[in-house]
Amino acid sequence: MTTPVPHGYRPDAGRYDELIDESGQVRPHWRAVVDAWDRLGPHEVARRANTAQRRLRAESAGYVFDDEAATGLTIDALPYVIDVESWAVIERGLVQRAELLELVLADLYGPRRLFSEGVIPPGAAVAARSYQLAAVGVEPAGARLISYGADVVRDATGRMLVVRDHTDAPAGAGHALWHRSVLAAMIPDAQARLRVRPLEVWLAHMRAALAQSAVPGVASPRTVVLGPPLDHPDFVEASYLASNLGYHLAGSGDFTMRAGRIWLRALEGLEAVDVVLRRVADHAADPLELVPPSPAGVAGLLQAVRERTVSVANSLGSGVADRLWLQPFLGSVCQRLLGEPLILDQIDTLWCGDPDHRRTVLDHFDRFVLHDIDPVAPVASAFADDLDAAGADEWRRRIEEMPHRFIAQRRVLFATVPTVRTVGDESILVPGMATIRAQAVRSGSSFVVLPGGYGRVVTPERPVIDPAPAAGKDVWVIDTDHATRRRLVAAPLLPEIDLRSSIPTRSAESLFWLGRNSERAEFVARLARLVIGRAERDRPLCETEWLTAVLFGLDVVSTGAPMNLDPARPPFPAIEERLTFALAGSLGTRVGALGDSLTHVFGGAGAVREFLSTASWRVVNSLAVERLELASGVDKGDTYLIAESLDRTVVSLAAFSGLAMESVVRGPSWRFLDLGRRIDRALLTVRLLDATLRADTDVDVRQALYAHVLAGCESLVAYRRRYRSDLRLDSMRDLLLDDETNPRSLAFQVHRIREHIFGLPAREGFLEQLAILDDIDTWRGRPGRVGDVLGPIGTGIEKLSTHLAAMWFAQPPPLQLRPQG
Amino acid sequence: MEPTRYRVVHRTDYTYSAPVALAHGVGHLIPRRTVAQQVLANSIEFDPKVDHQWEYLDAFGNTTIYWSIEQPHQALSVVSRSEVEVWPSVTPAFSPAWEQVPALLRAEVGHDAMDALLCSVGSMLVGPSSELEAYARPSFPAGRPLFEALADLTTRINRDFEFDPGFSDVTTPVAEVFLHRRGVCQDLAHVAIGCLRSLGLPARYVSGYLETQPPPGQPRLIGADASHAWVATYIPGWGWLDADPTNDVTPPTRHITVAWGRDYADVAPIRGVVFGPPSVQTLAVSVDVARIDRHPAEYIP
Repeated sequence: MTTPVPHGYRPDAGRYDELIDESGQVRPHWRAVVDAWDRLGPHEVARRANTAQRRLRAESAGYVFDDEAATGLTIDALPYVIDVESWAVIERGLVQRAELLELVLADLYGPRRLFSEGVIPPGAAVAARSYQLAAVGVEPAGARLISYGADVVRDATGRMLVVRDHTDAPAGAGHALWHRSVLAAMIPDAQARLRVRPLEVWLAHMRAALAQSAVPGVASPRTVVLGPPLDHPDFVEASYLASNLGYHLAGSGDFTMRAGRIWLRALEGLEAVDVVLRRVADHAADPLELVPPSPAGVAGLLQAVRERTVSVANSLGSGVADRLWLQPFLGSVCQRLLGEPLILDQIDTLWCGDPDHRRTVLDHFDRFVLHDIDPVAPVASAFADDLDAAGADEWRRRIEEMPHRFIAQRRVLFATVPTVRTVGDESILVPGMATIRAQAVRSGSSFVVLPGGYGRVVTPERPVIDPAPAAGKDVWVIDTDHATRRRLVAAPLLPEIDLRSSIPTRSAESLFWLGRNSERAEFVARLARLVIGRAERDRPLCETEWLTAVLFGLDVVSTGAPMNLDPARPPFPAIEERLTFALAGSLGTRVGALGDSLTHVFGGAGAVREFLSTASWRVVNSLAVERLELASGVDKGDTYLIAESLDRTVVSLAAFSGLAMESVVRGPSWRFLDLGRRIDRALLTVRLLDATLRADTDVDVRQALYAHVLAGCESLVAYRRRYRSDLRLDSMRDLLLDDETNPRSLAFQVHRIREHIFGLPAREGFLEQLAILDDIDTWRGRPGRVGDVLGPIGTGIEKLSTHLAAMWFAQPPPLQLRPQG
Repeated sequence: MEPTRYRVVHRTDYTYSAPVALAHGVGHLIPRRTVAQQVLANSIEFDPKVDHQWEYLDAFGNTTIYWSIEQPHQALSVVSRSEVEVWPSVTPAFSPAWEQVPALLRAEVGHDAMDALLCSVGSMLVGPSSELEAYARPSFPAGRPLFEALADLTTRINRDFEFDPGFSDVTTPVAEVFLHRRGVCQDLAHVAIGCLRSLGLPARYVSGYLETQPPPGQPRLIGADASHAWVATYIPGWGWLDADPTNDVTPPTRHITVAWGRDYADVAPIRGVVFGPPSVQTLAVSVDVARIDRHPAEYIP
């Protein structure tokens, strides 16, 4: 039985295609996938591809801090299917390279025979500025290379070629796992039916390898992930990986080195760290010793490794083999160290610091892709052939002037692989190109290879090394024969450690802001929904002072200050216009507006992934989708769409806060989350009252305004049940400010905040916080007009928040000692 | 030939305008043993006392010391006292033509040759440049023995550059020093290093001290009463040859060697990172080099 070639798929003749063989037939290992796609039909594939896309975007919510980066995240709905034979070669080749690079690192930071025997020119290593001389002579407790990645690509003749190695902090495994989860949801039974090799076992290997790398004698090593800052593009993967591995993700400032050891700064005090999984470049891992200098990192980390009190994976200095400079010499290195040739071919790579290589590059300039290996400010890679005359001269001049810095790789025509494109509402397959980031993780003295990888669809316009966003392509290794199917490697068991009370300072900070932002988002969404609802039902009311007052209130609640109206702009006479303008402001991306709060909810949730339940994540994901809907509603000025989306947003946010109550373990982490929530609720309640009740207007309008404020504070139903009367200011004040049984009242929030402050570990300065709270209570109890006490109360709450942040989260940045001449 | 015995007191004082909670430091403060120098005694005194200390050899074999101070403090003083014996300098009777050096170097094995390879290429602070190469060329005519060429280069730098403690600090790039033809010992050493590397020759940075007060009947040498710096190149088959462009002499001539590396950044006497509220720091350094009688094993307070 043969599988028909998908309709319209026509690869170039004479160029290797992954799907179609030389005789025009679908290759055997693709048949099951093509059949499965066939059964779904082009409509269904297009629909599911679209869903997969949305799912990826939604899941990225927790990792991707800004929309710019999120738009770069796409996934190709068709996997890159590889037959077991081709994969076996990649596997063997990768293991060989990983073992080889371990030996290279041991030599470069030990006896350095590769230099003295002339196998590697030291000039190349030094020019890359990633050879950490400070790490020479430092013997780590475990292996140097814990994980390793290589970009491989098939060329037009069908050969698998290595493009480059990743040894510093190899990214990709997280993406692979993530993409697999998205594609698996698109075709739920694919893994089982098509016998795709699963990836999960990789996590167990990673955990085992990290445990094994610990200093001998440590029975249950404490591992912490050293991640990049939240706004760094690599934060996404670090966060995904940390939560999947079950380790805390911490930033530079969360660590400290004392008494020759590395410690995690947790709320309860310092906790000793045994293994650091490094997700930042090594030069950014220790400002004391590593170069080029970077303000980030853990001062003293290398010293702790030198004293063998901590292990760092990959070892500090392993970035030296990450840069392309080593590639031209790797073949000879392999012969010298392993006595055998490289299993995987690599793209011809030349180092311009070598006079012969340089001549070749300059003589055959157009055939090369040019790369700068400077780690700090590299010139963007370029295809020499695509440069204009001036650009080419510029590159030639650079190479002549600083030859050591430049690497040239022969431009190679890649094989094609089918990619999905949607035309109308149907999907078609078109030939594209993709690279595979294959991953290996240490297992004992050797390595195991992730059976799949992080595929990236590449364009002919940009060099494949370019870090620009690319569509992901999940790599499937399909067993064509039952006999070759491997048994799952049993996950090594590790002793359990109870980390309930442990919470890194940065996580506490993120939880606090997550609490504040989710509360603010909920409050603003509810208020905006109320305004739209009433405006739709009651047109005459909109023509009164009411509209001005509620829009002003919405503005003040979301951003703390009324929007700056452009005086040159004519006022909007039409109700509709005033409404959409106000909504655009309070639901948009200004600080404090709904869009902004939601962004911070995603960022905050991503930073504390390990504290949130799976269900909470579903809610966060649905919020991410909702934010896009909301933004499109706001763009169109369509209040109907906005209202619908706000309804769902309010429900999701309520679910999120409910889950926070029900599924976050009661401890400091929960206290910080709830503290943030209480503080924002208290603040917004006071702001709403203050802003809305200022309006001086007639009785009917005032009743409508009171109703709005009560509903905005989720207390209208409670009011009606209790007072069964017209809305009165004094009763309202009682319910919203003083009633300790109303979970929406100021008194209730203050009570809870006080409890949390008592419940957190004791710290100097907490008496001042209690004094601020007492002060708030005093103002609250003062007789007189409600408007007179709201201002001081609001100021008190803001002061409390600042004080809490300064006490718990402040981390002074390091200062370099002045050098002496 | 008799060695000269020196006692060196190197004092560094930092003050901070706000208390520092945690300080990490790395120092190259202990003179190293060389073919011409013997270290008789050394002690380092910290105030406040360090909480943790660790001594090791860096990539170039310099004794390096790491310390941390984990108590709040507003001042740090580090005093390194050493007693060393230094033999007068020797120069090679024969050295190969400078152009042959890179090839000879590649054929050699051992620690010195390894250091020489690493010191032949650009480093963090000093890289090869066409300007420096052009400046160096007149000292390097074809076939000239490396020793003679280096001596000539040293003399020219000494003549062409003005010693000016006010002009530069440790962050001044070599190109700027070269442009204005002025700087301190460290800058002149960097210029010489850049010249040698631009020709593909090994050049290392030597950090140490200088006896500035002359013994009777000898000229005063130029130094800043702080650390001194000079340069060395590698002569295959012979070893490292020092040259002091600031004074146009061949060390050791009242020079005491502490450490060497590719440039200042590798062997800074003290570098460190401190944590605390934002503050202003002050730094004061003094180095006192005194010639002492060669009586056996004197006590160092």
